[in-house]
Amino acid sequence: MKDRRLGIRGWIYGGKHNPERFLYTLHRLTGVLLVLYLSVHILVVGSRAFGQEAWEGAMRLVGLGNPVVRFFEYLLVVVVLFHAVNGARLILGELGFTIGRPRRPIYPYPKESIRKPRPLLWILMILAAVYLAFAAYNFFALPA
Amino acid sequence: MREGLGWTLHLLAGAFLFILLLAHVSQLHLISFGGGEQALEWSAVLTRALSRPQVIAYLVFLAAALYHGFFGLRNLLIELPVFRRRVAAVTFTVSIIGIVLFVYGLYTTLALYLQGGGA
Repeated sequence: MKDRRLGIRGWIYGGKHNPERFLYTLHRLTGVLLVLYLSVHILVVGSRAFGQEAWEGAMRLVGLGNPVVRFFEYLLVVVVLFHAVNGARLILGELGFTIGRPRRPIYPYPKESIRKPRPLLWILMILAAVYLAFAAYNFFALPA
Repeated sequence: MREGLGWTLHLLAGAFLFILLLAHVSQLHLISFGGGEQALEWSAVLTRALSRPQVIAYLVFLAAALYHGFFGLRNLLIELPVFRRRVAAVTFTVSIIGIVLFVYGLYTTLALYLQGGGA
């Protein structure tokens, strides 16, 4: 039997591209980035157990105080917030909230499974944007 | 629903992380909440490292983040054609990496807490 799985191409190609399809891909990409970051983060933050000198050496190594590093730190907050907010949407959908009541599949099929959860999608993304605007103010307008 | 306990724990850890991550990011990265460079000075690091509630939060965070992250990574990898006949090997490898990181995180968190008289 022919294997029709798309592999990594399937993460990007989604047939009919709707917002949920792009969020699916972004969720995967941000998830992989966060696993990589988490691993490095645990190793760097662990340096505090070896004393002040080790901690300050680790902070110098990661470039604390460097504006470029600060910019990437903000991008990290964007990635974290997107993954968290979109994850909350996925958990709510997985548990059956926001997807509407089941009904008999009579043609023409209503697009309820897409239409009903969509307001939640926009509400969560707007909340994320508000938080990120506040974070941007903190990162770039306030003195470090 | 055939996903089993692993998937349920993944969702639970995700729900925990939603709260813990927002708190963690706000506390350590936003100047309005005392974050930024001042939160990374040694005195501030030590204050948090010796606070029992903070240490408990770190350990819950560590366990939830590693489980959620590495279970998610495993699920991505076993979808790829190259790994579809190597599910057990992928599960074993990501579990080992996750456990090693957890032990290291546990050691570094508790070592400083106990050395500093936080017990």
